[in-house]
Amino acid sequence: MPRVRTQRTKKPPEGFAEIEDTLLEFANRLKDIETTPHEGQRKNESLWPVFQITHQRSRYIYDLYYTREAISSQLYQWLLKQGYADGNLIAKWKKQGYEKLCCLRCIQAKENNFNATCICRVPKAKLAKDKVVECVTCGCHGCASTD
Amino acid sequence: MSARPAASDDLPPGWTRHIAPSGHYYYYNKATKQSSYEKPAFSNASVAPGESKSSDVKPSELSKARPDPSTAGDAQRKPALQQPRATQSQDRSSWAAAYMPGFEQQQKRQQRKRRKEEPVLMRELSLKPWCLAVTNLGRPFVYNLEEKKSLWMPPPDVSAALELIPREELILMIARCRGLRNPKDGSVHFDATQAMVPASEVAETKPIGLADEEDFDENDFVEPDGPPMTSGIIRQRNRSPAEDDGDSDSESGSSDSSSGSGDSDSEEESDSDEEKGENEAEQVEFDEEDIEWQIQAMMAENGLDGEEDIPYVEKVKTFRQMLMDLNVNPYSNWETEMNKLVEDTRYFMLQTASERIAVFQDWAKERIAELKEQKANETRISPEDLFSEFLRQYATPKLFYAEFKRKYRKEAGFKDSRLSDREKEKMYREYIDKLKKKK
Repeated sequence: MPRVRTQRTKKPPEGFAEIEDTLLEFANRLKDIETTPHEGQRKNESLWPVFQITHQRSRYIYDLYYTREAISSQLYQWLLKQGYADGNLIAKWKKQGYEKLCCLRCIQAKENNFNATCICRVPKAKLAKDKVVECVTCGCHGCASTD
Repeated sequence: MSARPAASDDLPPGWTRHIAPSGHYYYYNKATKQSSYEKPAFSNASVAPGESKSSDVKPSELSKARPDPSTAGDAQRKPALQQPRATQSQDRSSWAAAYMPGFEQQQKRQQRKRRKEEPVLMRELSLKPWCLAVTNLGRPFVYNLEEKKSLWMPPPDVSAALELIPREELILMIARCRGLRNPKDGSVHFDATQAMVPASEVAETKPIGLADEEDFDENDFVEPDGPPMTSGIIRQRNRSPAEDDGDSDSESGSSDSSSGSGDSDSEEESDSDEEKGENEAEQVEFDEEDIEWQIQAMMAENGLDGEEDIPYVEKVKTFRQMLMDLNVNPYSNWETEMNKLVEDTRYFMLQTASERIAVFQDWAKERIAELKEQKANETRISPEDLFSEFLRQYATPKLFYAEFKRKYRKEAGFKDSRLSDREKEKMYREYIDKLKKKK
């Protein structure tokens, strides 16, 4: 969640104007999720969209900095500090085998019953043929890097 | 429907005669919006509601001939699985609406593009009264010639007969139904293709599957031999969950039984390629991709020419050109910008979502570099200069800074964010002092 920007907060580094609209759209989508009813959904399910949108936003900023080289490292650091992207998650994406990781909780092996990672980390090739995977934590359908 | 209004000499007033794509005549009343295969009688000019139902042959005929998807599905599915899957697909549209910007527009677009599904080719099976037919969307089903019954899910003895059909032939048949153009070359290599009969010759096969979607008009009707590109995202969207399940089951079931396990394995793999936040549209595209891939693989095997031999580099070039033409923002994310593109035909130059994203990223990188260079070459005006220019226009010694600020804070020249308020105040005071001294 990005910090609220007031008059007293530091001005964003140069280049923020270009991506401001897209970030605003992400924020609006998050707000929309808050207001959508979640009757009939499981307790976990109502949080999945939040996970997904924050993941998308992190991915967007990650792409801007590493793939498209669109933003300066100053701006990138500022965005991380302000909470527009999850720095810890991005740190995992740089590691081999974690390129598509959905969220950090899914690799916390100790939190799971068999002390193993979440089902969404299992490659599709190793699952039963028609198995529909939906991880409990974030609704991920599978984020193994070989998929 | 490909409607050709004919002379309505022996019809009651208001009724016109048209030819359905299957070759049947049907009758349509523009005023009451009724359509019927049976010729309307003169006597009942004002049709009672009950009467209209019975004369409206199509739906009733459909429900009879159409295989009951729920029962077909149950045959294979465990009952325990049924409940969660149904709710899942129900929720999916609302989900996708939440995740995907502009999802609803996309959905509307697809409804518009949706096309009627009808059988195109038929082929007799070794088990006698049964035929294998394929619709124009490439979905196979079995048809019993004697009982005039069609099923998405073949009964066990029929599926055994299906397994006897060579895989290449089945792929070719599906490809032709979906609009593969050079059937002549195909028939040289697969002599069994003579066994295929255009389904329109066998009249009763027509009412199958989704024929109840009558909401398209003449423009939407696509000729069976249209390019496969156009048949992209036309698959059904708004079906009820039960129906959806039934169909997908029957699809996977029949492909399993007819083309062996290798086929469905490849489906599995490329499906998992999709992003985890995948929506239905991508799944639908995937169907098209898969069949395209199958056709290409088949072509390569047999040394046939593909119908489009555009090299990949050219495709990428056209795609990039489209990105430029449609004013795509290189700083934005793909999910948002995609909505600008999907209606363009050049969007389908690249076949998988991952290819498109890769090209978009490359393009964005280059474009941003370009834009940065342009910006650097522009002569830069410092914010101080900009603000002093603004002061020259608006500042008067009559106002204190606070008053000046209140008055002009919404002007673009004042809002320039690069100067702090303190700096602005300082500049304002110095400027006013100068003005006063001049006097």
